[in-house]
Amino acid sequence: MSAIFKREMRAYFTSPIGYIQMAISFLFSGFYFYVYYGYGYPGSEYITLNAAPILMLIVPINTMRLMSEDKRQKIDQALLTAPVNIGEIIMGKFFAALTMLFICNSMLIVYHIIFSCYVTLNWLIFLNCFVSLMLLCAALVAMGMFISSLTESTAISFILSLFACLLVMFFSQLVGMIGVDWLTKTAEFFDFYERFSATATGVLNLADVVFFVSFTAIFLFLSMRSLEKKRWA
Amino acid sequence: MIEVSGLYKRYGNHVAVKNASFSIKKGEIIGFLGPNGAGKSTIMNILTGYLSATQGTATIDGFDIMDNPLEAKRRIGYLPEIPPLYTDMTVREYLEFMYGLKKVKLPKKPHIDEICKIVKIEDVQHRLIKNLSKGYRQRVGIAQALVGNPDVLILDEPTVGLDPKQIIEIRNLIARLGKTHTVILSSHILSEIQAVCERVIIINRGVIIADATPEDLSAKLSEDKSLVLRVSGPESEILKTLQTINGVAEVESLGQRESGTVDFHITPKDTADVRREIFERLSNRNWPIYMLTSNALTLEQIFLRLTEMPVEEPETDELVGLDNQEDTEDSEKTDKKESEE
Repeated sequence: MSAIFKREMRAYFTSPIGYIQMAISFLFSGFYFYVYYGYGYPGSEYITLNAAPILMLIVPINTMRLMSEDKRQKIDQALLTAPVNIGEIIMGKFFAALTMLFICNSMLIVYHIIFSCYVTLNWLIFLNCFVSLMLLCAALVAMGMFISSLTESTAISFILSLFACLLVMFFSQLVGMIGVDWLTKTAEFFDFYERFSATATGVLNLADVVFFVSFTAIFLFLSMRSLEKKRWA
Repeated sequence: MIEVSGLYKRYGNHVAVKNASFSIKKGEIIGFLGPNGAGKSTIMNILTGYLSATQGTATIDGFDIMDNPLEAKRRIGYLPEIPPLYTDMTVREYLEFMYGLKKVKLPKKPHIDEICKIVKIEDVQHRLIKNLSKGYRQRVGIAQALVGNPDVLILDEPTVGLDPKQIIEIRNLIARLGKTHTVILSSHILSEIQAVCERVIIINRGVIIADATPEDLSAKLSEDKSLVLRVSGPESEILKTLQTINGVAEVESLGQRESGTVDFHITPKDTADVRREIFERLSNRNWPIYMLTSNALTLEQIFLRLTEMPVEEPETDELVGLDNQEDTEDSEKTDKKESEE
């Protein structure tokens, strides 16, 4: 697993992909920091909350080549014929992608430290918010990785992931406009942003945690099946 | 070392491999020969656990590739048709990645150094793979197969796309590796198989149609024991002399192919060896022999003959071996004769 993790981390930083993600992420969170700092309000959890929607763009960039590139360059042949479990391959890639997003989000911690130089802040509230953000990231990455495993083209993978992220993040708002009751309720259940923003207030809801963790697990499982599918085709 | 029995691979209605069975002993160098799309790569992919078989089993050193894939894969080094290379890594980084991926226990630096030395990629170790030439990439591909020092090497068309000099180098490399490893290599280049392999498995349209040494194959298939002779001298007199030789069944003049000489096609009676007699008679008359070769089939001709034969239906459960092939060939010949008549 560590070999794949290291290789993927390396791939982020030897191509522009890692830097692009960091640039976009830092730009947005930096903007909100500037605004809150300007108002003199030390709301690092609100910065997190506001900066989260940009994950919609960052995650597809993060995951677009995660699996599709291997397929295109036929490296999956080396991975699948090496004495490793498919689970290890998937988890190595997943943790690399998640680590990359952690680096992107790490600036939020810096902002919180800056705020705490001026006022006494509750670290637990921020930590709660940050953990929720990472859970959200994990769920989106797992989904993006699965999408990436379906195609050989990074472009298709990117577009599909972008669409999927848009859907899960703002599903209820889109469906709300249609006005069908049961559809709205279903959409609300799956609304990632709704679930995430609930925690930003400082309440870590176990239901939301379970939701994100199980969503992640399902898509990691599907990615494994997708990689293994080749053998049974 | 490798046991394959009753292997089938179906893609919907298309059958890529039909009832393939063979076994390979430790230390053998085996060549898979067959036209493009014959099923060579499919069999290799099944052996390495990249694809599953629809039916049948494949075991490596006693470990079934389906039931015990990790143990089986640990014993295999695989070079697929397209070398699986991360082109954004340097050669060294890539080999270190493969070392980690395969969880090799050998000491890292000496092991990778040794591999680089064997495949002669020491000079390009620190270059990015994307900047390497095809020949070097192929070598890096072989190098990654060697990581972990597996007992079995499976090389899928290792010399495809290389220049003649590189082909010879890779071939020598394979021959050297064959001393310490069991090697399976596939190719549609016959001379390559002939040069390197101790045994040939010919595959056509998913069916193993022959499994023998190159020499056995030519001996079995060439009922033709005739000779071709090139002599300098008067054509009609030579013809007469040759006809009088005891053991010669038929002589036919092929005319002049090289200036000042005449070629003859000599068919000896059954098992008679007439070469010495030919030499003595001709030298007595002072007609120098420029060439005397047996008209036996080359591997190339055998290959063409075998692969052009109609393939038996997959329902026949027994291995389609050489004997059956000869039968079909014979019946084919009689069919032709009949139609000619």
